[in-house]
Amino acid sequence: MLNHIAIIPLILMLSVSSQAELMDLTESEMSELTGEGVGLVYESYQIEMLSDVLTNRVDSGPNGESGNDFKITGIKDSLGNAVDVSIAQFYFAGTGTNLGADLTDKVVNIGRLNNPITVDLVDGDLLSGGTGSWSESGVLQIAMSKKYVEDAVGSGVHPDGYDCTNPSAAQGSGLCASRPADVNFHGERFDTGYRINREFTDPSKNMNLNFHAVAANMDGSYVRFWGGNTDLNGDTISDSTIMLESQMNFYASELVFNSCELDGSACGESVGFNNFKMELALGDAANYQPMTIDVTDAGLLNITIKALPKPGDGTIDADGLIGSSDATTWNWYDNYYENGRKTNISVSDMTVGATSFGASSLQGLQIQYLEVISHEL
Amino acid sequence: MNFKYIRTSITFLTLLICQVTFALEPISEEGLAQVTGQNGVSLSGELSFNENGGPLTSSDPGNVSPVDGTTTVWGTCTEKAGATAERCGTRLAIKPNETDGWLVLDELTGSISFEGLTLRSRDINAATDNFGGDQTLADGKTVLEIGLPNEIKFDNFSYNYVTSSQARPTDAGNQQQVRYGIDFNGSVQMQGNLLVFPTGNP
Repeated sequence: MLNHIAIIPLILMLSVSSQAELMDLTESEMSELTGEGVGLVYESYQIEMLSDVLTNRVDSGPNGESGNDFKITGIKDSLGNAVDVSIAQFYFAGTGTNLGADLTDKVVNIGRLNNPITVDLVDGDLLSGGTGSWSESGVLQIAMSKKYVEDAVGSGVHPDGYDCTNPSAAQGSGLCASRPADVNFHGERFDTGYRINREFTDPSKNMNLNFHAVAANMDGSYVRFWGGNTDLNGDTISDSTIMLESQMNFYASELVFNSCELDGSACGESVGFNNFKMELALGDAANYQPMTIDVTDAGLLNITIKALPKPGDGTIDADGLIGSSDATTWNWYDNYYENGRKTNISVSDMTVGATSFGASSLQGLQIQYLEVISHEL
Repeated sequence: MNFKYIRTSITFLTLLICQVTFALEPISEEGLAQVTGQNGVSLSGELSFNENGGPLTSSDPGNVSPVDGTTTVWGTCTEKAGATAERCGTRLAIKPNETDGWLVLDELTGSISFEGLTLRSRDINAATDNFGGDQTLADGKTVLEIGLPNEIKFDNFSYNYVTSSQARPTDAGNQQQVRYGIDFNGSVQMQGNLLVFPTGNP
């Protein structure tokens, strides 16, 4: 009984003192509050994964530590035998690594203090004027540094921006925020790559494949997640699901592919892509084309970008002109083709060994429907 | 009776402590100047995933394959190696929507260890930090600095990424496809800091 008597005043005293700390915010204090996201900057960053299979590197880098073995499993050849796939090297570092051979002091910043990587919850209604698949939804957004908006339509530059692929670009030469390295600062562009070894039951088939990206950045990339309803399995009933929209930008001064012996020696000729630019747009929520991920009742993976919906019953005439078509429908499609999300990929030169194949580009690709289903082999 | 005295004493002692709590006073400028604090921590750690198989044992009821009704599904990794159980390790299944399937990290086992992960608050200093000029605008901004460990060690760390029609492999009608798996042994070298701060005005 005495225990209870002792505890009650103690609780009351604590309650009183705690309550005294909780006070209403005034209107003026409330107006100071903002709901912001989290900013991230990697400072002087570098990571390397190095297998001990690289015991005969022809470059100047160190060999992997004894016992280091990084395998990727679950891959079989056409006869059903397991293929031993391992990562001989993976690196992500500052520029000047000589294709991953020299990582000493090669560090990089990813994100800028005034333009960082962000993790944010944004209002879906603000992303496309209150319409689209994400209207009335909270959208989780993870984004790399934002690109600048060009100062005049078609100029392709901003006074603070940098050319996205030139490893010695000057300020005002483009729209990327990530800066190349200079004598005073290691910059925000990175070298990355991997060496993959594949070993088969028949050793004569063993092979190595290497990929390197030089002076790269991913400015303007983002992925957005939100919840919505759409028919996923074709039963005409809406299913609640996670929806996505993604922008994957990858800019590199150079991409290099080659193949060597498993220990890194005797490399063959390289295939190179100079000034590589990829702006991959997956999903278009503003036009009701979110991307969804589903697993079927047979355990198969199904990735879909929803088909472009019809804007209404109006039709477009065979001549394609607005005068002979339903104007509302014509304007809807005109807006989609003008402002819908587009994929662009380009290289200024493709080389195989010393042979140049010139420039290639793919511009303005819009995905009107995409369905990828895995199959058991 | 003695107990009553003791209880009474405790009661008054408790009340006394409460009074002491109310006696908190602001520290003077001079007093604050004498206070020094280590504003950071250094962490080492090891994450180990079901090295011995997990809480389910091969003799648990219902731990049989729905396909043949006899094969033991979950067991220790020793039992798996001896082919007396189908699998061992953690299974983490996520349903991305309300239809049929699951995205799964399956048979997650092994450990990841690191040394020297540090956490501290840091004020950006325009005079001493080098962010290529960005430090000028951010001068005085306080950020959380996570010092990344120099080495992350993987010890028999493995998992399979699979797509599955059911949450558990013991559920009726389960079908699953392995997309890929990893099996890591060895050390990954790393350096640098991760700075975390609220976005908005620097």
